[in-house]
Amino acid sequence: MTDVKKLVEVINLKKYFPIAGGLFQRTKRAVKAVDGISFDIYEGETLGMVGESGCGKSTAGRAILQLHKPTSGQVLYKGRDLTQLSSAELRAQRPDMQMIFQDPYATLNPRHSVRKIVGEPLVINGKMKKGSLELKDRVAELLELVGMNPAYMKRFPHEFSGGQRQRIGIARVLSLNPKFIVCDEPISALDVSIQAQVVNLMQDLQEQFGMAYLFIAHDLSMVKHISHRIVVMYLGKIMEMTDRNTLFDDPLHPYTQSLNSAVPIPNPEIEITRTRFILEGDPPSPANPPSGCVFHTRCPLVTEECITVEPQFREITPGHFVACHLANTTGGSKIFIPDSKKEPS
Amino acid sequence: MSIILQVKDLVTKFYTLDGVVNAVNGVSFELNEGETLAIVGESGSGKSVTMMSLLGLIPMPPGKIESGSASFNSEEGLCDLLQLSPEEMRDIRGGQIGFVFQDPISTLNPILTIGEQISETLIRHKGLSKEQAREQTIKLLSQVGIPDPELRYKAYPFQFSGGMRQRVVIAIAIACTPKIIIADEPTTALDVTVQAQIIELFKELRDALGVAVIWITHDLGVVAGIAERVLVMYGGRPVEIAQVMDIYKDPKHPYTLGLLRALPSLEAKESKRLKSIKGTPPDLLIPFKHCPFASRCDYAFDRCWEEIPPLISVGEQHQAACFFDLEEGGPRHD
Amino acid sequence: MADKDTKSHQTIDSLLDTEKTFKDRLAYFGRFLWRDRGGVIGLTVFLIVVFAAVFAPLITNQSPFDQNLRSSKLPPAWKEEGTWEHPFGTDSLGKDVFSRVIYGTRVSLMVGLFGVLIASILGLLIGAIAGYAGGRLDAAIMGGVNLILSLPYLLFVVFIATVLGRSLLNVILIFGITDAPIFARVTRGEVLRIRESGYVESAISAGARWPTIIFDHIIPNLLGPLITLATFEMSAMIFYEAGLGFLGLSVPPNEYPTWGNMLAAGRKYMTSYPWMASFPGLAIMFTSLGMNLLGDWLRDVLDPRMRRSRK
Repeated sequence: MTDVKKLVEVINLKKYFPIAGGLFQRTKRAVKAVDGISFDIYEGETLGMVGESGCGKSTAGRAILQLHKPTSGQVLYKGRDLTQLSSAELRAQRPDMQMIFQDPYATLNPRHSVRKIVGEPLVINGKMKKGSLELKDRVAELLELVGMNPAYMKRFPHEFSGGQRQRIGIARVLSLNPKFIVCDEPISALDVSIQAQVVNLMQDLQEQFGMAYLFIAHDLSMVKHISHRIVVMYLGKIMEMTDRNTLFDDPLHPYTQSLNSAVPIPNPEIEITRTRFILEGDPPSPANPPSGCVFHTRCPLVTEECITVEPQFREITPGHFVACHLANTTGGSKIFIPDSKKEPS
Repeated sequence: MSIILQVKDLVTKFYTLDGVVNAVNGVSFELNEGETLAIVGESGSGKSVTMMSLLGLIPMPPGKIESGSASFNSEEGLCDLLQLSPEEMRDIRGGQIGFVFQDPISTLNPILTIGEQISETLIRHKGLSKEQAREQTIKLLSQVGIPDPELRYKAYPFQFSGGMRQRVVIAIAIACTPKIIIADEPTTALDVTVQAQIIELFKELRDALGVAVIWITHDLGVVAGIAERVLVMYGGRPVEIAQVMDIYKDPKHPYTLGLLRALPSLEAKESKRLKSIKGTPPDLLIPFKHCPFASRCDYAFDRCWEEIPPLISVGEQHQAACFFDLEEGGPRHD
Repeated sequence: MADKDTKSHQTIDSLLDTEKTFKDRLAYFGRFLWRDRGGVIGLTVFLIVVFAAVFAPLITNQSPFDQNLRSSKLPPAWKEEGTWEHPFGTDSLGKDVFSRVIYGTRVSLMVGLFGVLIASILGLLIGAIAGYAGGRLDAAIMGGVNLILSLPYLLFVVFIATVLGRSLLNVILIFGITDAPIFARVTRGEVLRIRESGYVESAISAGARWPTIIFDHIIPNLLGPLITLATFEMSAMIFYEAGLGFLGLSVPPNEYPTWGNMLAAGRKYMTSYPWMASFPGLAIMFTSLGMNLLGDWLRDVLDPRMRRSRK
């Protein structure tokens, strides 16, 4: 990836939410929603981000876009630190970085027509005039781009199905020709047959316009399908980061391995014969994360060191980063010994 | 194998402001003793409404069960679930038919302890004394994998995580040794790792208790691991029903085929483009005079627009409602 | 035949394209009205009251002030001694009860309308500032609002009315100011909710500044709940105005006939000449009920999510 330029660099990004406590609302504790994550996103690539609910993946997406002000850390967009920008400078930068939201029902203003919704970003950024013919043409063009009939312009969000609403949301985002789009669970509210439509649309658009995606989702198989590289998060930290095939063929972190093992595969032959490793318990609360490695409470390979010392996020093989004390090239962090998949090590 | 539940021509409609919603339009299936049947469909396919109809949970009005029968082989002999009085239904529901819904919060009473809620079920349906019920409850809690059941007996639902709550709901469902458990998207709200736990628990309990399960879901991955037979629904109708292996290896309905093709594969090295199903789900306000899937189907021909295809046998224990023969690549000959 | 064929080929997508025929719309409207019978009744009542207030001189040719001791205490027209000249009879001074009830709508509506207008504008400003600013300012404003709301309302109103004296303007001001906290509280809650909504976040990520967010997103979505609240509050104000009138703290009876004054005047004759107090009483009940039905209906109608939705 030497010839590809870094578009976004996330450096030790943290986002804590204070928990108000006591009678006078003094801050006592904080939920460490995102607790020191670092990664790069290259131009035109799709970086997948997976994790269970409460792992901080949505917060991470919003903190990168400065929709939540980060507690600390840096987000460099084309080398410029977004966290240091004034609100006017940030606003000028916004058109380049957009977000596709999870819930197509909540993110479209119910009182605005499709025309207004899709055209709003252009008007806000002073690119086109409200009510101008030019704007109308552009909205029609955008609707066609996402596979919708421009005649729907006069209609309101409640008249559409979930998939159509997500298309409207995408058309709105595209209006500004963004270079980088954070997609926060864009398909998890949609039906299976519609998910494929939207994912295909997103891939087509990427091919056509070359924007980079940060694709946040909990559905591992869809993330694998759309991403070039994948980040696995757990309790506000990155557990593992590598390219899509390595993550599934040679996962080094025990958490990634158990995630892979938990994903149901739509094939009864595989499902019936496959050996699964099922994690016990639920993820701990991010308000009170475990000491040492945050995963140690559920990890089958836990050692003394894991309980006390936080593992470093380090590169094991080129491009393969893992935060696990046991990870090495000889399979020290494998729950199943390779080639004898029956016994846990 | 004996049939424990036979549903015939169930039709449920909702009379709303926008018109009549044809939610379920003639669903028939049977459930054998100890068998796991998965009902697969997307939102608006009628899968949940079918089950709510069977459990007597359809709000009336606006809902109305127009016709059909559901004969349940209860302990007292055959009875039609659709003809029961609300009181009789309450006795069967939670007793001989257990149920687990997607959202455990709505099933559990927030102001009662977990233990009280399970005991209550036992006292009501099995006539146990308070002491017996308590003992039985603790046994059930450990059976569904809740650690420290004696301590947890006194806990309230809000003190539990989502996965643990679902375990409690399952404990209530199996408390009265039901003959059938109806599970409506029981793992959809859960995380992948917790979903795997709950599915595993279900399988263990099913095998231990020999209970029949109707598992309603949209997730074809989950179905592959748990079901013996699969019923695929679309537009309020069953479109295909077969053994689980046949559904995945040899789907006979274009919709089933489309659903399977629309899923990404975890094994694939190269990411191929997904094959999506064009169009959007049908508008249930318009009564169908043709195949509900025709407008989205790649194989639709004249006949598909003229009449509703009936469910016909297309193989051993395999039925599909389609005029097109996917194997032959042409219209099916009667 | 060909036409029928194409119709059967329609999917949901193509259905969105076809404009509904007039008959379809009429049928939908019919079902809509039938479903919301209460709302239709409420709207009708409201329109009748407004009509009566605006066209009072056309409805009755009797003056509400003319005294005529010779024709005092006449019973309603359908009683033996009644005449159609005074359909609801006359009061102890011979004033026509019907025309007084009709002219009384003017005070009730004025108090309700302008009272709510003042209250809602004040409340909207206070609530929007509190909700949008947040933090200490919010805490301070809402503290004050809660303090006012915790005062015994009627006692408070009576106290101010006594201090300020009797006039229509004073009554409107009293209701407008004392009711503003309720609007402020509702506005603040709504602003907080809308501020966290997906579409506001989406506007921010598109680079929107605060005027766009407030005027394009927050206020339009605020209007529905506020109009609903305004209807209920208007009904309450009409009710309270009658109460003040009954206590003799509203508009002086020689300035304008009000339902409250009529009630007060008719009270002593309740057993012997019941019509003097019954008709204004019925008018209050009728108006109040209608406004409440209307409010319930508006709550549903003004929420776009309650309109036709496709899953």
